[in-house]
Amino acid sequence: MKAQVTLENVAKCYTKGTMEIRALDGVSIDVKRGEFVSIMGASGSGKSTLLHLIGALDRSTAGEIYLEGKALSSLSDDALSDIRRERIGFIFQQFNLLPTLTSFENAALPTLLAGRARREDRERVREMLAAVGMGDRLDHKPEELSGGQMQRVAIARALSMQPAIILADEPTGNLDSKMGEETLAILKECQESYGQTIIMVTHDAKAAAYGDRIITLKDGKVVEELEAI
Amino acid sequence: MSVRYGILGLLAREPQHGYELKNSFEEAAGGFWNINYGQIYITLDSLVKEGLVEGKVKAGGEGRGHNRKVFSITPDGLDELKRWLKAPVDKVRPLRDEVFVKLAFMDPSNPEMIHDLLDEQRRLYLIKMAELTRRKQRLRKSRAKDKLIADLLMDAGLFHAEADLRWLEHCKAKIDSAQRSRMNVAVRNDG
Ligand SMILES: Nc1ncnc2c1ncn2[C@@H]1O[C@H](COP(=O)(O)OP(=O)(O)O)[C@@H](O)[C@H]1O
Ligand SMILES: [Mg+2]
Repeated sequence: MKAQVTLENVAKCYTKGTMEIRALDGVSIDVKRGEFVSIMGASGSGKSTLLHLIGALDRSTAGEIYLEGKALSSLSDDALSDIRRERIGFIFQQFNLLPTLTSFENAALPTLLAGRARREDRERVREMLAAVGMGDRLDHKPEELSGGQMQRVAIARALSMQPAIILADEPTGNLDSKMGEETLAILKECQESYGQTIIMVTHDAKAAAYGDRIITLKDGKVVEELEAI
Repeated sequence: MSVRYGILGLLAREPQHGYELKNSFEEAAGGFWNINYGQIYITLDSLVKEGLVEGKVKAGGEGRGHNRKVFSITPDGLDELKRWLKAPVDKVRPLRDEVFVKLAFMDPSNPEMIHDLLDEQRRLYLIKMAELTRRKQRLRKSRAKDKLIADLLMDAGLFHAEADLRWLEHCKAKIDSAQRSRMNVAVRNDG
């Protein structure tokens, strides 16, 4: 079967003054449709950078990334933003919620932007918020929420579009262990019931253990890859 | 020690044959603990001697010796079980894991070998954690009654494995930095 996400020898360099930082250094990974891949690694190992590149939020310095067969380097910025909107659900480490919108509005934003505001779309947003335990905080603004609650709104927002690919950066980082477990069970459910592909970055081994495959990064390189099933 | 109280606990639920206790015990321990028939019968014998358990031959029962007996808990046994259940456990997990012992006997001037062991150990812990997580998922979806305790036992396995894993990472980081500073000293002495 053809991979849904392929990274071929991907590198990413940042220049900071005269210093060059190799955040990613020749990473090659294949992710199959419907697979749940965990990416582990110490802080600074390149996990977030990797997720940003896969999510077409940033371009690689070298190598190529294929998303559903399309080579990202050959696409225009507009084409990349279409892919982001239509194919990918992001759960960011810093939540990226809009401060002036309520939980419900934040979670409903992707569906609104995609021109999908029918009753059933709104219903699904509400269901997602309830599933992550935010059903009673629909009208709260981000500043009225704890870190863990913002994280859950961000998760509901990512899942409300039922994207083909879910990219999650430390989705349990701000949650206590019980809530973290419930969140991971929801992600697992997305994979098993809807066949969504999940790539999750985490330094938490208990979270990583939900993956079918666990990849470990160190200094921007893949140092280990193990099948968990 | 806990085989003893495990058996008392099981017999407090219902009388059982010795050979049934193996399965009941392993099930109650969430599949984490395998014991053999020998351990069960030795423990049963001493529990009977102490008057905490009694074994009765059932009329028309099959088998020979131990196998014909149905064991049940005595009132003294119930008291002993209650006393044990109420007392908190005062020792933390002993550091007698084989990994610790191996580490103690590794040659510190050969960090490669230590790293290889730690990496291999990390793989194993991760795979175990993934297996446990899958079992938790199956349990979550199953219609089994009383899922909570089994789930909590698997959580205990996960938390322990996580702690061991974090300790391994910590070892690797410390050994790395010790090695780096040794190399720096060597470079300075050369220069
Ligand atoms: N925008 C940036 N500019 C400069 N350096 C960056 C930038 N983003 C990340 N880095 C550097 O790249 C490396 C990898 O960072 P990151 O991908 O965020 O790691 P992780 O998510 O694993 O903690 C780090 O050394 C970090 O300092
Ligand atoms: Mg990060």
